[in-house]
Amino acid sequence: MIEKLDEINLNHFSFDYFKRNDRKKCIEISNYECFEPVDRFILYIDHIDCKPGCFVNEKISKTEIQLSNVEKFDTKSVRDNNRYIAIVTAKNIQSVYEIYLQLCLTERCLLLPICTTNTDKEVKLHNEQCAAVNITDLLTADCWLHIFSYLHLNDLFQLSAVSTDFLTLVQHYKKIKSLRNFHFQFFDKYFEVDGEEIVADKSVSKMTDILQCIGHNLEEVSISVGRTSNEIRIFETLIRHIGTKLHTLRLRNFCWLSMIFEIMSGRMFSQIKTLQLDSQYYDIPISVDIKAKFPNLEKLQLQGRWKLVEFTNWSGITELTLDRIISLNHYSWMTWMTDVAHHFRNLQTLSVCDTIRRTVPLENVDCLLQLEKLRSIQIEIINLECFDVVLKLNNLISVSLTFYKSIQEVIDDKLHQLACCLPNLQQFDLTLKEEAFLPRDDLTQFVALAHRLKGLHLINDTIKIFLFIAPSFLQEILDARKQSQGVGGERDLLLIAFTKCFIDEKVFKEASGSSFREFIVLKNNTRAY
Amino acid sequence: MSNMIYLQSSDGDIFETDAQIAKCSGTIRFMLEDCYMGEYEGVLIPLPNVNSAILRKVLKWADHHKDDPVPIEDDGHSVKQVSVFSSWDAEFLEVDQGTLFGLVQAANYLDIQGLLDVTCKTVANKISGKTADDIRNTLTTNQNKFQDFI
Repeated sequence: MIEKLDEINLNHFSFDYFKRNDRKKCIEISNYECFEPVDRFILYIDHIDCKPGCFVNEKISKTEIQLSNVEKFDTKSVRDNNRYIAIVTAKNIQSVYEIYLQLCLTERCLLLPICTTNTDKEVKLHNEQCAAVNITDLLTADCWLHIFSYLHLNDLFQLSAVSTDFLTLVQHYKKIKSLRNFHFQFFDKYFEVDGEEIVADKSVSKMTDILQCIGHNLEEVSISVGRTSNEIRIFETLIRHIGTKLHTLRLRNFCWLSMIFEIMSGRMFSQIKTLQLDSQYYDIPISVDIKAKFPNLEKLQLQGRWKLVEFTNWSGITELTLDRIISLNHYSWMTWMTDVAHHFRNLQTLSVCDTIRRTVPLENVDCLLQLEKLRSIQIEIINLECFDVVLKLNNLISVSLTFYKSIQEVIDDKLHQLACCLPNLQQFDLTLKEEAFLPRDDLTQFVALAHRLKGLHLINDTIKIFLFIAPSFLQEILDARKQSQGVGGERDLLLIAFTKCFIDEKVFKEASGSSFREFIVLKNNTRAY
Repeated sequence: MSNMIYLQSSDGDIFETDAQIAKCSGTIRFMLEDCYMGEYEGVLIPLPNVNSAILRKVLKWADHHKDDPVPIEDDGHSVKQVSVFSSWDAEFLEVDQGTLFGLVQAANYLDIQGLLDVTCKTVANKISGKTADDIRNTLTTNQNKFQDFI
């Protein structure tokens, strides 16, 4: 549909980011740290998954009326079902500001400035400047490498943008060569996270410099955008500079994905095996066929406020994660269970967390039984039917259940049935939510019966309950494990991990002693207070 | 008992120095111990890659640091910190960029780890926090000066 608006092309998005200038009452775009006000923008309203569409129609009609004010705007638009795209040129820059305030903060209505600046000249000049510095005239390569050891990543990336000589040398520096995973954050403020290489900057130009330096080596890329990011240029930059090694893409808070996928070439996506889409904003529909853009996708992770228009032909996916799905519109998720069962025929791992209880209904849960290859499941137990379905998935190797207090009484004394019904079970995680209590006896009984169990993880995610791990409980677990392993023969160690539980240091030390070590290894993930 | 040796710069100047001071240079130490087998009183060592201005400064630095402990090797991955960057060093390195780069080159050629560390750190400080354009301007402005210097 977007092709019909043939005057739109990628050059219109060749700016770094945009911002609202309240003093001048205009929207400004930034390019090489220069700001200029814009009078043109693209308006996008997408309610394709909303049924009935009366609300949408009303919304679009209202917007059209606003834009049809000939004194302020020239509008060229297309409308297809519940989707509306318009290129709007304002008579003055204040009009853009006004409509930004009215529309942009409205749910599902996106507004992105476009520019007509031709950056070719600047790029050419930039390249000429790059060629001007011959670094070997200054110092030998090994001296530069020694200097690099005193520089942080940001400085190295800046150096790499100075000249092609520097670029080559920085690329050979071992700290740069070893980078495989990178996170771009297009936020206003800079902050660091331990263990992750992050560059936080609003400018897409900086992303370009970094990707020119390390793009060919990267295997995993995460991109988090803000409300004023130029998502289209960010994505275009990514496509242009990443190499063939990239297999994992994590996109956070993107609003324009539908349009991005439509106007971008699909040439890079065939190499992507893992796609994570995470949005904290309002409900974003995935109205394009992701499968067509990511034909070799194996892992799909949806987190936040996503809406799925349709699940079709996902037979290549082996791992599906639905996390924190808090869609305001339940409609798009009403049949998700049936859809997953029908279209993810080769699914091996299904993970649904912080989702069912909040928003997404658990209807037709027995459909999961059609997933014959399923070996690992993470699911919230919100009713007995759900628990019973897990019991029937006999081939499961790993099970992760979330218990709520409200359901706990219903499934009381049933936990041990997992061990009987799932003979191959090797990993069991139990998360306690709200005010759920520890099913101590039931858990002990489960351990006694689960002969192949190798890992048990207890996570206390309750609000008010301090879960103390008593020595007697550990002793019971040890006895149960001894019972499950029988007398003689080979014995497998059981790794028991505790998260957000309280274990006295002395108790933990005793439980790590020789009498336990023969059967059990303890791990305390709880941070010290 | 002092063991005086002579160092000849690329432009022909000869500098007399104590062998113990000169041996802070791995290159010179290797030549004295392996080529002259410990009998190096009055030996003349040519240094074709170091001019007299730089060599004078190098010897001044070496004389000041003659009693410093041997630096420890690092893993090469983390961003290095120079633990000893004295006020004397800071003052010593308050030189134009051409001289600074000359000292880096000389420290690298002569294998003087301590001098290499402080000079490289000084260059890094000049680069750190700058944009690519700023770095480019700095380097191109000084490039011609440096070439004249060497």
